[in-house]
Amino acid sequence: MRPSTGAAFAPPRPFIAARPGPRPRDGNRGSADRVDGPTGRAESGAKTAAPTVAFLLLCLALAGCVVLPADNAKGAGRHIDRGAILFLEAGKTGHRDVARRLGPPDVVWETERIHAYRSERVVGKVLWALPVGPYSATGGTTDATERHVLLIRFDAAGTVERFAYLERGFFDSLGDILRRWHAPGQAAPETPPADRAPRGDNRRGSMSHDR
Amino acid sequence: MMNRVSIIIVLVTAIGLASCVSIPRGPLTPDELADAARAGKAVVMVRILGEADGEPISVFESSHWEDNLAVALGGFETGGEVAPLGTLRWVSEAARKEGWIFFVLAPGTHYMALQPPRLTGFFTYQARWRHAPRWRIEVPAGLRAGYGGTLILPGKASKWAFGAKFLMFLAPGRSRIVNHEKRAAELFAAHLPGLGPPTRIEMVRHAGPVIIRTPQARKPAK
Repeated sequence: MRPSTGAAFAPPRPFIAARPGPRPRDGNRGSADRVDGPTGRAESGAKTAAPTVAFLLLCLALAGCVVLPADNAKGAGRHIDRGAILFLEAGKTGHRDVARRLGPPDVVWETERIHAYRSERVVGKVLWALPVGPYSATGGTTDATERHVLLIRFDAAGTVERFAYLERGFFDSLGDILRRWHAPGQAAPETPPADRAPRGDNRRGSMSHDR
Repeated sequence: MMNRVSIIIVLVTAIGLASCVSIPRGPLTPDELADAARAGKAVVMVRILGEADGEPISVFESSHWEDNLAVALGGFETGGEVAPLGTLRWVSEAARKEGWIFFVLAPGTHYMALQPPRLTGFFTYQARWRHAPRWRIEVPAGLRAGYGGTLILPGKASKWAFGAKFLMFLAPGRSRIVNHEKRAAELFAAHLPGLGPPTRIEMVRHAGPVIIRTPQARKPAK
């Protein structure tokens, strides 16, 4: 325990040593000024102003972090359920039937006759924080989505030649997915749906079917 | 005590001023031009002019790109999906304020998408690129300098806290392309003289599925 001192019982000193009334004409400071230390009133004013200035600068610095949340659903894409593509049969299903059931594709790789459909499904919410650009940060909640891409290659006659329903990671470029799938021998991991899967194949998430 | 406060003030000021850092991207350097020529890429200049209540609005008024109209590009490499450009390129500050920007593009089909400056959450804004209005730019093989046309982009304007106007909502359905080929030729002559006069390759408003094509293989340079 610290020893008690007489100072503990002393009357509190004024925080700002200002005394109302005119200063002495000879320029001497009043006695109250002197109790604040050797530098007097100037130091006392700086001590008061510095935290205020620091606080204001901090407010300015953090002002860029304020973000108003908006409706995330506006950016959500369509969801193509696995069940919705069970009609696809390589060598049988025609281009018109695909368009009628699935609608227009998002991307058409014209020279390779490949149609790509993006699929998104919201599976939860994510709390996030992120620096954006050189000067600001942002944060909030957003939808956690499960993303897939349905790729369908047609033959010259407009019949489905092969198709795949592939998982798409957050950072996967659609361009990379298309090229990987199209490149012979470099196809992305694919898994047929349950009703078409060969026995013993337990991989999840993707499926494919060739003629 | 005073020293500590001073250090805190300096640090906080530094953090505050870090927001003022911008990366000006002027005309292409000789190295960049040489790289573009080796890769068979073209410099394509476009002009975008905002319009609200019948009055023109400079869409690239600010030197800080996040306060300007946001531009995204996509093509064969991205599978047709557009990705926002971190920085825009312009040949001069004056040209930027007139709405002139340029891209270095490989031969093929490219898509330019536009969005107002970001005023919402990061992910919300990113997700909106998918549905952002887009314009198609076809770059023929062998092109070195191109002018993609001048896009008049109507919309609803708002004002930043310090007075500059910006397009807050776009009305792409009322957009139109006009020809400022003469001014484009002047800018190329003044800032990119080695490329020669630009060829007009007018951008087209695109709707519906994105079309991509396999790029034609380039002949090896002799």
